[in-house]
Amino acid sequence: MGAIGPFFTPHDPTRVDLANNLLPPAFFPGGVWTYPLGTDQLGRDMLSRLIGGARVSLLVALVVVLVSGAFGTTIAMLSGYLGGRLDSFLMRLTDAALAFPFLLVAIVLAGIFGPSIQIVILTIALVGWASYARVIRSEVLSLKTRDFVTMASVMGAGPAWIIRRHLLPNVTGSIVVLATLQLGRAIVSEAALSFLGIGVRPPAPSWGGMLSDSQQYLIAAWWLPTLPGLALSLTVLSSNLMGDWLRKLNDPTQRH
Amino acid sequence: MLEIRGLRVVYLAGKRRMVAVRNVDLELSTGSAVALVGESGSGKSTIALSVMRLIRPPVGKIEAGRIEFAGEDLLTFSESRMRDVLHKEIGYVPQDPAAALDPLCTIGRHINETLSASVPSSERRTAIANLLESLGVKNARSRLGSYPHEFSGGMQQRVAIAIALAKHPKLLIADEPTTALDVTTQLGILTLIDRLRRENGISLLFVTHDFSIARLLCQQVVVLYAGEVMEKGPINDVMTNPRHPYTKALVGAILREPAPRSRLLAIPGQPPSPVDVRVGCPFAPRCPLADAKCAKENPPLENYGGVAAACWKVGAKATQ
Amino acid sequence: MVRYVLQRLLQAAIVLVVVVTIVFVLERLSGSPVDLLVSSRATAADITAMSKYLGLEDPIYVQYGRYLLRLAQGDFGESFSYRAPVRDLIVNAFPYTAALAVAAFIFASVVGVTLGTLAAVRSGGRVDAVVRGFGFIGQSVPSFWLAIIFVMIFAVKLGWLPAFGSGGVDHLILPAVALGAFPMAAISRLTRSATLDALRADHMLFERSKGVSPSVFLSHLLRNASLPVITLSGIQLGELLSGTIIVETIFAWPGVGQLAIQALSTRDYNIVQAVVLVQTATFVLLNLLVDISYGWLDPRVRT
Ligand SMILES: Nc1ncnc2c1ncn2[C@@H]1O[C@H](COP(=O)(O)OP(=O)(O)O)[C@@H](O)[C@H]1O
Ligand code: SF4
Ligand SMILES: [Mg+2]
Repeated sequence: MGAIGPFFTPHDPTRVDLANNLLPPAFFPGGVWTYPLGTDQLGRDMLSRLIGGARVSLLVALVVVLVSGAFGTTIAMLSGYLGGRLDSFLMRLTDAALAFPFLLVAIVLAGIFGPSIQIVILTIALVGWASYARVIRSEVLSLKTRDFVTMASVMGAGPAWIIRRHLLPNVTGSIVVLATLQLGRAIVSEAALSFLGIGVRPPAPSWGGMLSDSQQYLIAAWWLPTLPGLALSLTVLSSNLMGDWLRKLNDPTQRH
Repeated sequence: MLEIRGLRVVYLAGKRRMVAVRNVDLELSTGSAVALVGESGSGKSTIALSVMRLIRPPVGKIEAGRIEFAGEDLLTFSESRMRDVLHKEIGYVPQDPAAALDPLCTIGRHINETLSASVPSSERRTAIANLLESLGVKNARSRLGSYPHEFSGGMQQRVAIAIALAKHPKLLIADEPTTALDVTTQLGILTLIDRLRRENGISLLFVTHDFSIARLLCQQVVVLYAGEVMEKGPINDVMTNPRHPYTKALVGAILREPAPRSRLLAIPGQPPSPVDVRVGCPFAPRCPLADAKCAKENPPLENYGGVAAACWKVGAKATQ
Repeated sequence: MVRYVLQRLLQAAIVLVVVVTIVFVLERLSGSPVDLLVSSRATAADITAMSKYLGLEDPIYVQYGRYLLRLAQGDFGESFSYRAPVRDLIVNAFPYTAALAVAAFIFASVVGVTLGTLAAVRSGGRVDAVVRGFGFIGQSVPSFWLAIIFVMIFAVKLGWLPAFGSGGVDHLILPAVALGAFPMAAISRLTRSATLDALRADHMLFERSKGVSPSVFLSHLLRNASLPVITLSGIQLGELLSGTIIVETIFAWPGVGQLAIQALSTRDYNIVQAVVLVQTATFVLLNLLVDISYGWLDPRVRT
């Protein structure tokens, strides 16, 4: 877990310092620079916990995006290129996945297997692949009728070759856009699960968990609910803005 | 009836402007029919829409000119007065009725929207049904509740004509009304429009890329190229003795190919780009007669025995 | 239309059956329910007797059939922590969840459609910029953070509204707005783009050429723009429903979501299961209704 990224935390995010609990951020009265963003109810360093939470969020989101992106794209290729019965079956499956109440499934799974990061990743990915399948399939359908693909197929290229050499390179733009947009959603989903206590297990830091803990200290310590929520929202906002920007960049070339 | 002077229309695509129509003059006398002929993209629809003031920001803008309708400049009208003119005096038959009819609105409601408010509500259904019947829609009464997609292209166009006719218009603007239809229904629609014009004394502004269709319905023709008028005059005269090389090519195209559909032009090359300032004759890059003067100076529209043409070399023969 | 409705009905049924089956399989995977029911000192004979009593000795498909039959009768078993039939607990809690979801949905669609239409009509202007910024932020702020911040500001600091519990309309405002913010943003963005698309459509130009009054013009415009918005609203309503779980927990709102989360900590699986099934069924039903109303609005789908 701790292996990823160049993340550096000033303190151990789980170190308790009860003598210094509920300190406000340093630039507010009563704050100290040892804890630049203050401390929580157990005197743990907020900054370190926020960084630790970011690490979990990004890890989960990246794995989710990889897993669901790969799976969804595979389904899209099979469905769109091979068509026929397989296509209608896979698309019904996609509809079903899109209609799946993700949070509820997560609750059932957590109820049975107990909370864990693996379950979080699994449930988010379980629903996430469907949007890739939908969008990429419709692009494959239109690519399929284009000259270079029909040519390749007339010249005897097999489906695997065509998918790898002709279809995949032409849908990477859309995959990137979808992945960027999914990143934000996955981060929120992870936070929601951790918030409900069925995600990352305390005392490991997570933004959702921090928000959940903060509820008892709304009067005493405004920074407890504010900072993790801000971190969460800004991360999601940038992922959404990026996705939107990429989509606009991608659009004119994708559409005819 | 209709007199257009110095019309200039631009489209605004983001930060770019493109001039689609420049310095166009056109006149249409009461009860007669004028054809606007030109290749696709020459600005015919733009002129037709401009008369109805349908080119507006953010899509585009009528930048200059006057559009006199019954003696008054439509461009000076207030919004509500213009709406009134559109509601009562100018009918419009679109190029593609399938796209032009709101798919969520029944046929009956479509026509009801232009039927005069003076028709009492108890008689409206009958009036609409009778109108449709007179245009060749069978069982019209039982089909008033149908939606446009339940009609064939030819029937949709009859509905569009009914919408126009319900206004009792003085002017009818038809923009390639048969291009989107299948060949078997084209003639029916054309003769219908012609009949209605004669019977009701309506003036007709008829847009087409096809000289042979234009001759069927109109007495006068205005030939457009790249947004400018190339030639203008009585259609029989223009067709038997075209003054302008572009018109020659257009007329030549129908002679070679009797039933042209969309791409009738066999003239090589592309129209010039619609930039703001244009130097020389717009047709010069594709003209077999072009010389140095053509590339530098824009020829004015001048009268050559009852037909006006914008060309430095009227009467000269192509050397190749 | 009949064909279309039947098709959607079939699809809805398939999703339901799939979810029911998954829940059934997961339940079996999670170990024998006997362990939960018998005491730790039970003998092997006791366990066998209990298994037989519960029908666990039967082949799996018989058990599955029986399970379906039970569900069809609305029988979700007993809750051992409440010592009451789960069905009664759900029947009591569900109206609260429905009220919350509906309130949030009304807020989201009324505000979202209004803002989106305004932005489209004033496209490129300042109103448009504000609405678009709002939309982006709304789609990036998670409901549970918004809920906590609302409680902190409006309940704790200002004392304007109650922080938790149920009661009058005032209890509903904060949870509904927190829950509705995301769909509101999504709906405003889509309304804006759908209205702009409709405005550019050929048939709106044709409608203008008819010289109809502004109100008639607007009715054509809004009707056309509403189609994609209605589809999205259906999806959003479904997501709202599962969003209630988290917002209910924060506001101690006595709906099925809070029931499920509490049951999770007491390992009262019958409740969890029932909530999942009821929520899924509602979700599927809502989507079905939306699809059908879409067919009713769009004559091209109808035939
Ligand atoms: N909505 C529009 N936005 C930008 N450019 C347009 C638009 N409509 C037409 N144009 C351009 O204006 C020119 C004239 O078009 P149009 O009047 O439709 O020609 P025609 O009807 O003769 O085919 C063309 O170059 C066309 O590309
Ligand atoms: S002016 Fe010159 S280029 Fe233009 S049409 Fe006449 S001969 Fe051709
Ligand atoms: Mg045109």
